[in-house]
Amino acid sequence: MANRAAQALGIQSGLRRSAALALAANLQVAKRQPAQETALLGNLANWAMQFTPTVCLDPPTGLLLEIEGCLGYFKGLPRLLGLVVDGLQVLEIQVQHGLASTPLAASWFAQQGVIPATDWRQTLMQLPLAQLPWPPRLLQQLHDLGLRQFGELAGLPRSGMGLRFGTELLGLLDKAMGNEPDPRQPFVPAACFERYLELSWHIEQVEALGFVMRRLLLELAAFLHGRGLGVQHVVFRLAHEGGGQSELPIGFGKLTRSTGDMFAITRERLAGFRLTAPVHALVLKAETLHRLDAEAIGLFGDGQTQADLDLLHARLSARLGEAAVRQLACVADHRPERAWCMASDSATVPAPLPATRPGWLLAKPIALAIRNGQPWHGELLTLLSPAERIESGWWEGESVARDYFQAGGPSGRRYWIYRQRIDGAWFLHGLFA
Amino acid sequence: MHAALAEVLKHPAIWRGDGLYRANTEAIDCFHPELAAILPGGGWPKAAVTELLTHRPGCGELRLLLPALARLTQSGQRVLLISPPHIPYPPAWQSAGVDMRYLTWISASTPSDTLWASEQALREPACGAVVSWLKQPLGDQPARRLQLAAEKGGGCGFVLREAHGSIYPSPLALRLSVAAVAGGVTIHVLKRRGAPHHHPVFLPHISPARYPAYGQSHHAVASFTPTRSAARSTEPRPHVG
Repeated sequence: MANRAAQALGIQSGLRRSAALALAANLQVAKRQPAQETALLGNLANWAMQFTPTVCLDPPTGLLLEIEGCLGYFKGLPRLLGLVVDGLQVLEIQVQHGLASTPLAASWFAQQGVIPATDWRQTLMQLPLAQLPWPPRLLQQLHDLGLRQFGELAGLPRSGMGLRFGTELLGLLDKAMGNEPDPRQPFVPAACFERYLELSWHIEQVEALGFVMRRLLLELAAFLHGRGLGVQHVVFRLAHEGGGQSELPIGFGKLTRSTGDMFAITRERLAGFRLTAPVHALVLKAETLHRLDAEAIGLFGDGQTQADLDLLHARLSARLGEAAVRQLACVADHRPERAWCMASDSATVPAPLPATRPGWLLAKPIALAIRNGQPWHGELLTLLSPAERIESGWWEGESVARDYFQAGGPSGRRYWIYRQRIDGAWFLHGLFA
Repeated sequence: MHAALAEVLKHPAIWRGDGLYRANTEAIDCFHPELAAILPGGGWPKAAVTELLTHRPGCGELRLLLPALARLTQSGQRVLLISPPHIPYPPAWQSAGVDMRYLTWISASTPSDTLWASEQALREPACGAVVSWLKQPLGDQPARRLQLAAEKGGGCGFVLREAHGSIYPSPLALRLSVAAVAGGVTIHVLKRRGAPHHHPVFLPHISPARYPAYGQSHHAVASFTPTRSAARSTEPRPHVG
């Protein structure tokens, strides 16, 4: 098979390698990977579920969509075709498509890239026999009989044709023309997404790994899009040279199926990732799939802002670590170090404390030296406020008995200090900024 | 001045070196009238990064920023604190009017992560303000990157850094230095668009006496009595109430 650039240079399937290289010296020749093609076809079938519930696999490379029932929903054939073609372009997959009332004829048309202009039967009759996916021997026989177009073959007497070529050919003709039913096994979508990618070269750099991961995420996005699903968590499993394996779990912070969002977070996660050995294969696995289309959309358009923020948070926590991105909240507790907490959700406790609190709290109180009978912290501290006594927590074993003061120094800075009631020691606990 | 010339000078794109630059500067209210009078646009500039040089943490930087941050969170805009020097203490921030649901605390372990997180956050239009604390001088290139990110996102960027005297050049348009003095905070405008401003602005502390809890309400009376005894029980101490 040749891509468009190669076809433009005159390269076709069936050409010898040496001949092809003579036509294009910088031709890249890759081995076909049937397993990969089957997996990709399966994912495309999942993607195509967004257009119709009846999708059939037409191995090795075909996909049949039954669209008659969906034309009304998609407001006509041209629009539906446009959606399919645009969607495939986003997926960076090159396709040919065809259209007919029977699956077999549609499959043949697709292999030629024929879209019937008016009557599909007429187009079928004019289809060149030489291009049909039939055994070469049969095609040669037909050619020797002087048959060039499908119509000429279909016009021959059935009895003689059955004797000469066997009844299978008759069956094919009938199925293609719609004279005989051609039931197909509908595609059953998978319960989870798993995609294995064997690389034809070994990846040693994280950046290059990013490209491959983007490719896999693109397929995941297509899979999810077709099914109206989203993921919150995926795992990349890397197979290393020499048999080792490593895992790269990635959390997106929210349900998503946008390739851009997923890749943005993956890239940050990769930035802090070190490859222990070259990678020769990788697997993208998304085990838990959630319904995404059922999510309510905000009436006033706050949804997008919130989505952007969620993505920002997810990116930040992907690079800096889960614990680095925090929400804060007040807790109704008298002990200053217990009066706040990390809140993951937006649960707020209204804590209108009667007393003043400093803007900065030290994670650990600093013991203060005493000079001339006054606490000292780089400068002599003078008490500015009356004491606020806090005695609490004895029932939890973390008893606190302190007198808190605001204090100031000659520099003008103001501190929140306390004196422990047990031993009279002074500590710095906060800064008024 | 000729009337026609005066008419021409009204054009927003014309900047005169002897005045305060006001054209095309969108700003949010800083809630300090004395400071607003000398800031271009009359407040903290939007879509720009402002540098605040402090001597040490706790010398009045929150006094300066909290009113504006509180207003942003109240209007539902996100405020991000990146690598603050200490724990932003929720009881104090909440009583200053900050809606804690819209405040995010991000701790980055390395200077490059701090810069990276600041740039990412500034680029996000949903962020109203991004306040970053840096430990090292902000180089020319990172400063430009942050400025570009702020222009893209449209939020207010603040970079806080401890500086001890040495002033290095910076491409940022507005640079202030904050210092604690007896009774309040002084702010020097190191650099702004327009004519330089050499006189520091003084913002007095909200002294304990001005807090409603200590000043007017009965709490003050109730809590004052034990203090005297506490102070007496140890030894006499200078006490400015």
